[in-house]
Amino acid sequence: MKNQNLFNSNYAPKNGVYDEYVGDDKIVRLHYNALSQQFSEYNTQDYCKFNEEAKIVFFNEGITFAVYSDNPLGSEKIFPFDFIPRIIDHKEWNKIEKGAIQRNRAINEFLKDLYHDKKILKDGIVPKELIYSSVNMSPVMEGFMPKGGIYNHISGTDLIRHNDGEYYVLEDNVRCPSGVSYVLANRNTLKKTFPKLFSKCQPQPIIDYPEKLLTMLQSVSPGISAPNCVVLTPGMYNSAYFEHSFLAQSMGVELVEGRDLFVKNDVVYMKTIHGPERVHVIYRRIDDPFLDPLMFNPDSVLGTPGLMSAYLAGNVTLVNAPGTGVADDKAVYAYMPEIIKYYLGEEQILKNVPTYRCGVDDDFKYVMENIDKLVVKPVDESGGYGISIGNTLTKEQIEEVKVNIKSNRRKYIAQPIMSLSVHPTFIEGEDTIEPRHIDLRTFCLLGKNSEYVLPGGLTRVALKRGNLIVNSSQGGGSKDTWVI
Amino acid sequence: MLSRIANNLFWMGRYIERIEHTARYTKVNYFSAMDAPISIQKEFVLNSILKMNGSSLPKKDFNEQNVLQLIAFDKKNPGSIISSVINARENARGARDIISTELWETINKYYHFVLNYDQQLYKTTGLFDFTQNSIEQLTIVKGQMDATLVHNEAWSIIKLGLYLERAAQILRAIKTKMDDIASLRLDEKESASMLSHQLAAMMRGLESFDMSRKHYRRAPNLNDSLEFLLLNDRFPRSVLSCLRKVTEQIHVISAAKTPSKDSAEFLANKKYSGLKHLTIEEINEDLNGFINKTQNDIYLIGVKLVDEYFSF
Repeated sequence: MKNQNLFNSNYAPKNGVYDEYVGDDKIVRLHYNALSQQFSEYNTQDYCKFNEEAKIVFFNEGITFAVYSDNPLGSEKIFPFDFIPRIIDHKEWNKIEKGAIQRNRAINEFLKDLYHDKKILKDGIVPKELIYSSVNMSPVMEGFMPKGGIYNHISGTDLIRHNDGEYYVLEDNVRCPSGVSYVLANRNTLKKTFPKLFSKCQPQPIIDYPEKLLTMLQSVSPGISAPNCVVLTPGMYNSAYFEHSFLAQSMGVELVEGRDLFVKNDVVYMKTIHGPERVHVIYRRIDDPFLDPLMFNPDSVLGTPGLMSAYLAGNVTLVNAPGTGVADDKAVYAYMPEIIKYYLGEEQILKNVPTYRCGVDDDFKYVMENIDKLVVKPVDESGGYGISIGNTLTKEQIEEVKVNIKSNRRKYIAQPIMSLSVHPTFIEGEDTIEPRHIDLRTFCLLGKNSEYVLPGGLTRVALKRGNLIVNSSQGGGSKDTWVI
Repeated sequence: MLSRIANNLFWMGRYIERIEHTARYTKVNYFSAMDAPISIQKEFVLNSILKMNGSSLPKKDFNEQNVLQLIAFDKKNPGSIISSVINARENARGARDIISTELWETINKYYHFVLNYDQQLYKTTGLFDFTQNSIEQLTIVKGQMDATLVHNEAWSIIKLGLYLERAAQILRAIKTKMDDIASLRLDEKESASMLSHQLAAMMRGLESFDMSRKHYRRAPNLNDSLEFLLLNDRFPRSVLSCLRKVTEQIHVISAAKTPSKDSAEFLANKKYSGLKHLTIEEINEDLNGFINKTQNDIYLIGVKLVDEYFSF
């Protein structure tokens, strides 16, 4: 029973949700025992000190993200970091790892099929209208096979744990998901804070992620032994610039902007102080519409004219491939169990949240009658924007949501309100430790004949009491995540 | 290396060096006025600080607080410390993947130091603390530059910017002080002690007072001071030494056997060799003309560098 007195015995788990740290019997879960013992030595002053120290590290290292605003100065924020690590038992992790690989392999097959034979549409597994109405279906990719047969080289599968104790996939992110740099920065910071706890728990290392990433990039190069790989960023005013520079630096490759590249005879070069130098693989952190003003958005100043024709000529590899967005559309998400089965002949390992598609009449009717019990999401937005959570809405707001859905049914899906699991979290200002909702973004790499999932991933935490949205743009923070 | 990144690094070096000179010149001259042999007006010192910074204020706004504010914290003044540190840090951030984490952190830390400094305190009692801290933190920045970067092209480009800027700042400081001295209009009795006081301020403003005394082993005089700041090849804060390093660093990035006649490298080599074989007596025949010409050549080297390497 001594484990109960952790956090000055003030830690009060919430009813009706899964607490990662204690079970319903109020006993600390087995894989948190070492942490529990270690933390029983600390008091509030220690917690405040850990919190301050971590903040200083992040600030000085410039680990910040930009909030979109008119003012280029003073708009940088530290990504809030909670020093209490989230711990995942390795048995549970093995399942997540297998599930993420399965899912992203299936997505890759799905994309290959959509841009070639379209068997899954012909067989009626996924409705044609759903695919052809998607703005993310890219006609230029029709009939083109990327090097190594890989489309979604880097995928960020978002998971939550519901109050039944099971993990559910909330979203598939296959358009260059961000956040991995925070995973590495969090680990780096926490190592300095709790060296003893680290040697006791020995979480699986994540430090080799940049190497794995580089190896993956090299594996899909257009056929030379020492390919020149680069990271393509929209520039330093982008909210994820820290991550772009971090990845380039830790892989030891150039960080380029669109204006640093040019295309001649369908070959991509970068502009160096000694003249042009050929580029083979581009890990691009620019969205499809901005890649090439000749092919897509003509007003884009972020991309490089001619890049797409160089790509389609097979002289450069883009990571991820253009046109992957059609697969992480939230309306396609509903078909993931069928998609996995169709291509891999397997049952899904990670569960899907039941999803109502407003484009389908029966679903639409149900959604309209039950908005107060549902989370309504636009299919093509990211960053937590445009989401409405039924039980937090006023009557007027419910009507507003209804009007929005009616105006463009294809644009919306609805899901039951899932209860995200909670985790002990230090609350700044109140200097207490309280349960807060968390999710988990995993990072999966697919290369030519290789696959890798970063052990742990990014645990995001909603710092505002009762808030279910964990995105950094909505006041969320993150935790180091240990697989032990 | 990407031309754009090279441009970032070059300007990062220039801004860092510029801030240091602004901070030191301001500190030294502000406080030197307090032990002048004859009382000099605050206005004289403030004017000198403005001239060194290349900025000015309308007569009605001319007062101590406004001058100090303009030099350090006015974002509209492109030569202010805050503008320079914002630029230096933006340049470093744009080349974040090229420079070491240690170098980035020291620059970032100094940036936050300036942005968060209590400006009211600075204008009343904090001038010494702010400028001294600036100088010290920038010394650490330069230490990280040398200690944690591979001494390859990237490092050479930063140093190139740094030495070019330093040469320009030394010349500007000399010119400002010569103008100051000329404007004092002293009688014979005052002249000697006042001149040596102003020379001391000039030398201290370039961190060269102690070393020049040690070198010449006599009370500072105009000839010695100018010779030391312009022609001493072994003193890192002399124009000659800066130009030598400029030629060395350009050579790292050009790797040319025989630089073409209109290149930055050729011009830098020519300027360095010319200066190396000048005597202070020759320079003194037309000091003003010499300074103007050298400033112009340094400007030209910078323009040619940007043109040849930093813009594609």
